[in-house]
Amino acid sequence: MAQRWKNRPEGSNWGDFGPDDQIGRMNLITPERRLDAFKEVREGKVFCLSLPLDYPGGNVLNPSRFPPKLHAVLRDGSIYFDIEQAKVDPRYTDVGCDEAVTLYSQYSTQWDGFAHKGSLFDADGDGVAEKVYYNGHTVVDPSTGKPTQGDVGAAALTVDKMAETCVQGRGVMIDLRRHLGDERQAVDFDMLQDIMKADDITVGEGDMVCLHTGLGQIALDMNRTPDESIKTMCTVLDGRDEKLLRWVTESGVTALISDNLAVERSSTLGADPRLGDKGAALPLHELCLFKLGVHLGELWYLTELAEWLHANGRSRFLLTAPPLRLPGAVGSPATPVATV
Amino acid sequence: MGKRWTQRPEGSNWGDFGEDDQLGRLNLLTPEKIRQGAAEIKEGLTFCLSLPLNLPGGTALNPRRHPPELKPVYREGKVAFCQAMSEFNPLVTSATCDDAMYLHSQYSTQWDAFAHYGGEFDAYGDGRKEVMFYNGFRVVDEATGKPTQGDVGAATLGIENMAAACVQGRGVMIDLHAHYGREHKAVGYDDLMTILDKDGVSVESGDIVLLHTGWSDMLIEYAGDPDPEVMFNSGAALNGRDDALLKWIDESGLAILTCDNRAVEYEWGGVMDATEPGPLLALHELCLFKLGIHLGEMFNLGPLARWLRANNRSRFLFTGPPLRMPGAVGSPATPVATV
Repeated sequence: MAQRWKNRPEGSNWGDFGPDDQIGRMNLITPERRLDAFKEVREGKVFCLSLPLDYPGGNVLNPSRFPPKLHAVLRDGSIYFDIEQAKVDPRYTDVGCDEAVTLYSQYSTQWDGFAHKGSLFDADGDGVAEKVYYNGHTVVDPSTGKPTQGDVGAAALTVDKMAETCVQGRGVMIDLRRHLGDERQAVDFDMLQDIMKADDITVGEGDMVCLHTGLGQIALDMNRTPDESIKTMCTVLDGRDEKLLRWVTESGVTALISDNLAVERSSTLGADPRLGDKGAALPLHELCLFKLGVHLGELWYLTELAEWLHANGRSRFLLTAPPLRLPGAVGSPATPVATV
Repeated sequence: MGKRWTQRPEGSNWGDFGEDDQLGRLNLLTPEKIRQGAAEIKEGLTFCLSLPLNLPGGTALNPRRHPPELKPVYREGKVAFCQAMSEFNPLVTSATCDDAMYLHSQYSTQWDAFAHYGGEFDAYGDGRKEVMFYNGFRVVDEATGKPTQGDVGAATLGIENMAAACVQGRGVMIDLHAHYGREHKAVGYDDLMTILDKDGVSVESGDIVLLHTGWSDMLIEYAGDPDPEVMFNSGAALNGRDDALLKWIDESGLAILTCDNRAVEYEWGGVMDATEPGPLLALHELCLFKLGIHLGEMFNLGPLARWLRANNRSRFLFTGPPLRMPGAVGSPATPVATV
């Protein structure tokens, strides 16, 4: 197969994990690093880092995404829910339920696959920018130019590839909320460094970093009926701070996770006034998903874990957080587990 | 809230974990069991125990359950897939994709919630049978008698309870395939004890037990087009009609039972042999209805089973929560084994 690109984006690592790589910095979670992560399991206590998937509720946070919906399955013409099998054979005492479900893959606690965000970039060097994703992949089938399952279905960089790696390694909590509260602030490199210094936190290659902002807790407290105020609450990373972006590149962080909507300021708020002449709507997404192969976790529930870690003078834990192994999907709900 | 029952099914543990318990033997996944599981980790290698969720493929293995479908998400009326954001703002260089997924919750690798399977049982000693589930719960809303989300949606015992419990602990592999190959066999208590003995495997209270039968290997080989005749006549499965085996499941204290086949237990061609009323799926009845033992089905167990056998091991750390989907009676999952 011919090289997929002639030019790689400035500041990208395309090719560094191999010409066909689709898992990016998940490659950095080696068995040795995973063994290190297990040193953080001391109590054997676990935390579920998923919101109930019907949170945040409604679609205030993102008008394109809707809460999960359960659907009936038919069995012998009846709705298969609370059904006595005695209807089939009077001797049976079995009773059963079944269902199907529609999930917007990024509605609630979720991972962004690399197919979620790409860029218009001239990767083939013909002077015209094309739609291209991490490591120069396209998400449409290269031969047909179309998605693999009708209007959707990515041909590469899908969440099943991520699931196959198991996503188990060391998690590191940075508790932004404890220092900055619930006001919307864009956290730049200097602010982040001050917090990490104050809390004695180091981030190493292969670590999955969780940023606690408190938005997950606020969503829970709003009991599935959030109002517009939730869109501008709590901290976000400042994706337009070059120093912060450099830290993401140089730290070797493998995944960036938050309990807010987009880790950085969401584009659902409209174009950032600092966008300038031309650029990415979401510069941190561009850096992570498009250039470096760093997965983003969003709308996780981190508050209980952050508080426990603080109370116990710790910041590290074992994180196990695979997405669904669903071919073609660009994002996925997950039930991340932290073990301390 | 009054007691939901005055007599509990014979051989059940209703009430033992608390009157309102919805977790069953997940209560046995204590911090100590998690530490025991973590102590099995020597190499730092992981195994993804989920099949690709588009397997088995088609509907030949269960006409009611369909493969996953991806659905479009619309942004300002346009399909948000490989969409250049410059369509909306010429200054923006990003391209974006989004999707929704339509999943039959028990199509592929999946957990059964306790709300999946109950029984008709005379819980008040009045000679009349009620439809009940684990610990005497009903899955419909007590007040309305209806599901919570239209035609579906369990009011209790939904899969979200299992998800919140995290489902991490010590896993134990029992490799039936290594002894029976792909022979279609109902494995009873004596068979199982012989295998545990030969392989030096022991099951202790709170363990998460995985049964490798080779079924998931076959599904992978069929690559989405399985022959139902062959599949339904292949592989070992537990004999739910062997009372000694059911007794062992109870007394072993195992917390969870998972398998790479469709139903953990032998299905007898879907035919009852007894004349007296009873369960078609006796192991489902014992586990989901009486004891609160979750069942995992169609897990992808071949690679892990082979690695363990080659390394003369049977234990590992297991982490396998379902989705935290309120009201669902089953869920896909991506279980992880660490060795």
